[in-house]
Amino acid sequence: MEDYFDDDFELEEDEELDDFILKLGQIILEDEYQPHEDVPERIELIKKCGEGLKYAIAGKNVKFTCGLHNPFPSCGYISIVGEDVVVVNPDLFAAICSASDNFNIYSRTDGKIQMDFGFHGLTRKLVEVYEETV
Amino acid sequence: MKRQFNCFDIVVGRVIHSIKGEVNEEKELFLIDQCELIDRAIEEFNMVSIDTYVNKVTKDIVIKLTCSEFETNSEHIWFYDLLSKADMLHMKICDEELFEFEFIYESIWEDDNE
Repeated sequence: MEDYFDDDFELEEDEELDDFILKLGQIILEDEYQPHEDVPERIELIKKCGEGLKYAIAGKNVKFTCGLHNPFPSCGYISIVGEDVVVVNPDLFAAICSASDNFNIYSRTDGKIQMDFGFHGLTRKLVEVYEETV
Repeated sequence: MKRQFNCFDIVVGRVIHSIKGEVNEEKELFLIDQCELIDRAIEEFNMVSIDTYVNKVTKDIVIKLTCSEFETNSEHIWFYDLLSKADMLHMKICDEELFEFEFIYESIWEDDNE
């Protein structure tokens, strides 16, 4: 197997750090699954961006996927996978990239390109809603 | 990636002036501005290589970047601006690790020469 690590890089076990990361993950999970309500404006934004991308992008075997509350309740994404992706409306495409919270693009092992647009803030905690109303 | 020359040299020196015909000055200046941003993208996203050529059929200027992966967020508004000003963007795979990202610019030449 090819060695992808530099010679001077050694993986050291650090139980303390591992514990810290696991605890942090747990805190984030607990926070995500607190009682919450949807933020309709953000959900509408993802749907509109998804529609917009269908106008902005053409190409060979291009597939669009949209996920709401995935992988966590407060997150959503739009994924585009294709062999040959052409952005025919860069202005609209750039506006959608800008509207998303993060955008990444990479090549896949099956000979396709994948673009992901991530969106946050799809939900807000009921505690926060309550605090705003008091 | 270690650059041996900048985009300005490539576009202005090697491509535009190697083609017969008058370049639309306004478009040329625009392209130089875009090339500065492309330079920044190469640095920031660790892109592997750059190539610039003219599509012989359409006479479009094509700036081709090769990269493995990059991610942008709200700190990269300048990059979205760069994307929005191209006439077309084209992405296709090179191999398992790399893909090509092409910025296509049309109408660089004066109308008389078309």
